Amino acid sequence: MIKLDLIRLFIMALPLVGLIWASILIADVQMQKRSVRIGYKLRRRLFTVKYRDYGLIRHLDRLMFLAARHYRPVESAIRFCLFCLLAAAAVFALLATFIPWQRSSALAVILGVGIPYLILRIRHAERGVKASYDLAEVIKLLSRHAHLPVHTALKRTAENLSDRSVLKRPVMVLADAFSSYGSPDELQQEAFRFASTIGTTFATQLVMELIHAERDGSKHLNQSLKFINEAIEGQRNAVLGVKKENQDAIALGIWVNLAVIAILSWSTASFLTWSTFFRLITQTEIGVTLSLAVAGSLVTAFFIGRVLSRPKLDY
Amino acid sequence: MRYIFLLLAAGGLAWMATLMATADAKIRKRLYRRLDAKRLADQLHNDSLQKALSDAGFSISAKRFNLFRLLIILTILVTELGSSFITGERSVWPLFMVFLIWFTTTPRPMTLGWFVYTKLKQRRERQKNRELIALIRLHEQNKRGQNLKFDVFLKRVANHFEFLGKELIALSERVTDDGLEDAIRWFTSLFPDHPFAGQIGTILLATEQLPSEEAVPYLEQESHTIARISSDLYAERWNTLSTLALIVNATPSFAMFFLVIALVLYHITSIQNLLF
Repeated sequence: MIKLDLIRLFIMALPLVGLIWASILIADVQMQKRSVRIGYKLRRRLFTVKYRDYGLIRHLDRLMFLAARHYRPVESAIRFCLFCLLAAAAVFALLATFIPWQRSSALAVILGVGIPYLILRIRHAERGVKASYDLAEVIKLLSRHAHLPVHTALKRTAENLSDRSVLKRPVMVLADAFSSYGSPDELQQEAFRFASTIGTTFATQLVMELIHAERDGSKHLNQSLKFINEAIEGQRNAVLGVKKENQDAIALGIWVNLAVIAILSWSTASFLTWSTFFRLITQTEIGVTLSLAVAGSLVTAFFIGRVLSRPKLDY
Repeated sequence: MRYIFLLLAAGGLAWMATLMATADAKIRKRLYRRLDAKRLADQLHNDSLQKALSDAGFSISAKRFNLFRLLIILTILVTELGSSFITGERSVWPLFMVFLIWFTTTPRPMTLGWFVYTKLKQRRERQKNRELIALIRLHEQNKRGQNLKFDVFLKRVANHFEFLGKELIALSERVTDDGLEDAIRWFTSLFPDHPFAGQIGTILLATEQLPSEEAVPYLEQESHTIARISSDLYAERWNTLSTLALIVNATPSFAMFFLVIALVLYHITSIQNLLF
């Protein structure tokens, strides 16, 4: 009975999935190759909108700058929006056809928009932390080329950065901004963007020194870079000290909790047998609530441990 | 269906009543003035909310934010209460949701919204700290290179600062108008209870009169001191956090102990009930 139901569910889901897939394809083709298939007017309207004027697009673009694998300015943000919309619509359609529930629209929004956004945020945070450490490498390489004009120095630095560095693309973009800005304001905007993607004191300092060097000559740039490098190394020591302080909390969050739970449940189960243990957990009220509490706090502790184990290199 | 007809009839009656009441041009004008959208929107303005929003770094105006909040609350109330009115079910969910929205967005003390706003404000202050440190570095660069006068230098670099830009331009104006000392006193008063803003003021005041050969080593040394102060602050902040983190991270293990004990007790009592 259950099997038959599953098969029917599958067959009903198939055309829907196909439809969603087709619409994703159409949207993708439209965005990527600017295909002529959809009418000229619509296309013109889509491409003449100044997407950067919208706060949402700017916000997503800022996140994507570090987090996206193949970043393209504005375009990847729009793609993300489209993906979220389609995902929410697909989840809603699936829910509406198979599980008639009053709150399915809210669930669809949470699943289709909330989860991708959360993933994007987590990726951005992780790569931001990595970027704050990679900045030290950038500064060291940059001081080698400090006698050159700023944009050339940045370009050389970006070329010399290892491929694993998160900052390779942002530094390249910054070099482009320095080599081809139309007005000081434009340069300023790009520089702010670079500083805010890393979001540390040292990034702000570096950007200011670079702009200052661009305007007043890079005679003293090497000295300033050396100072920033010194400050970074000093702060790295402080961060290591803090990490040592937090060692207990990190170990608890990452693995000690799991080990304690495993040992306890194993010993209890050997005392009560596994089937009784599971029945006690799943079929009694106190078992269900407490095990949910354990699971929730375990996830929280894991995330706290992750955050504590890699603090940003900043004041 | 009956309810819809009832609502339609009531709406029509109300519409007709307003039409008849405003037949006189004078009264109509007065009514329109009272219902002016701009005037209604102005009443949504709230000073404390505006301050909280701008301190937290949002560029949205309090009026618009309030309007947005109100719209969401009204939508929830209309849809939920409307559906419960038609189906006849009663629930506290819509009211609870409205309370939740109010609780998470209000700047009143001891609410979640207040907590969020203060956290964002602290974040913004940290961003300003970054720029203060950078200001000292730029000042040193200036002393080393062109050695511009302080107000000229400020006006020149103010554009480079994302968060302090306006304050620096004001400082430059004040230096020209009121003299260096008053201006710097004003600038440091912008940062009450700040760990090193006062020191930065003193440094600026001390180095302004010095020739550049003496000012540069002094400034270098002071930047090192400020870096150390910031580093200490960082360590302090994390050390206070680490105790809390330890307690939070230890909860799953304790909860598991508790769970096992509770389950065993439950098991024993149920067996006892079976036996006796």
